[in-house]
Amino acid sequence: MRCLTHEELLRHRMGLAPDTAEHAGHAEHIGGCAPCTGRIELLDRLLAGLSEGPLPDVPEHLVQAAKAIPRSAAPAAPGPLARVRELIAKKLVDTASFGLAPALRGSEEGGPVDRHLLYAADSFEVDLAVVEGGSLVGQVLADDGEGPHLSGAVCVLVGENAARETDVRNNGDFRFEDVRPGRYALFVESTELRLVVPELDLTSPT
Amino acid sequence: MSERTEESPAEIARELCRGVLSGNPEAWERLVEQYGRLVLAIPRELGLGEDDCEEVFQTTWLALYRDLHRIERPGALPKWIATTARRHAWRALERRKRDGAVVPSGEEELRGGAVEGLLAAESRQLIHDSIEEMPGRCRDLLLLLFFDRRPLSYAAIAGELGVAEGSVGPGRVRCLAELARILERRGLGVD
Repeated sequence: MRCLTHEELLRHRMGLAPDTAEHAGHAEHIGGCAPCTGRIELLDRLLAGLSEGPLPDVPEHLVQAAKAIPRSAAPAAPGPLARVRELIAKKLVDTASFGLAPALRGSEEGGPVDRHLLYAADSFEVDLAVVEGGSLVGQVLADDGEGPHLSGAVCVLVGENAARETDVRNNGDFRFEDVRPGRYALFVESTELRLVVPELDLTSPT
Repeated sequence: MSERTEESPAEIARELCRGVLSGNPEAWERLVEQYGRLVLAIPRELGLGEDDCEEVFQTTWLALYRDLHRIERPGALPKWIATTARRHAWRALERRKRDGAVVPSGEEELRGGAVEGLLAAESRQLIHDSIEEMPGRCRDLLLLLFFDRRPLSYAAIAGELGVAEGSVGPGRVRCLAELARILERRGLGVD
């Protein structure tokens, strides 16, 4: 029995009569077919999105202010943001990718480590571990004694569902409890430094 | 009615990024027009007040302008914009909570409902972008059916398009199916 076409599924979801005898005969196919179920979910999302109409307009003064940013943020007059050094970290190690035994950090972090990741940017490293129970613990390490860059830093973990923020301790440590599997971005920010882990994939099995 | 070739939102984003980085002010203005609604919808879905929404809107665009040259995959720009707006919006919400301000509803309830709203905002942006870039008469038909602020009858739509009234209904199903195929390729429903 073949899958229904987008047109046939649309007619089904919109409550329209089947347009062909063949379509009518295959309607029972919908319930037990994974590709058809996936298409139906997409169509329902499409129809729901269309029923909402366009996103609301933006007030004109906001549009104009955003359009003016290139003029007001010109390099000739650097503002406070221009003094922040920003580094994008790249992944060096992921024990989930290579089937490696995770590093032994259990005693320090309060539980066995399920997964260990290491990111690096310039002279900084971000050492992350998912520990038993779902906590994410990390440490920002500077190999050239640039500790003052991290004074008063915060760490922000941004997921699809929420963002969470925690202080970075003087030794560079930070910790998030109960981190669910998912895709995240991680930011370590101080007044002088912004260290970014743009893609932190915690969906892989540990 | 204009005939267009299909150009994906990713291709448009790449082109706009190139324009901004080469100093073309029109490219930046088009970026703001293209994605401004999405940026503002995200803090609104979280229930933030207008002042916070405006701040999130402005800081998101500032961050984009500052970081645009660091984006390795300009095709992922819409996702990057949404993530940045979400990050600033959540931080504004946390700040309000720390200040003791009353948040719009219970935290868990707010977050549960808001997440759906945020995803819906991104979906709606993707749907709208995809319709705008559809070639031929489908684009015009779907915009009239779903995005025109006037309540238009099939007869009125047929008049605007210069087609028979009886062709609007079948055309709606056919064009929605074509839109669904485009969105399937572009990842709607794949979070």
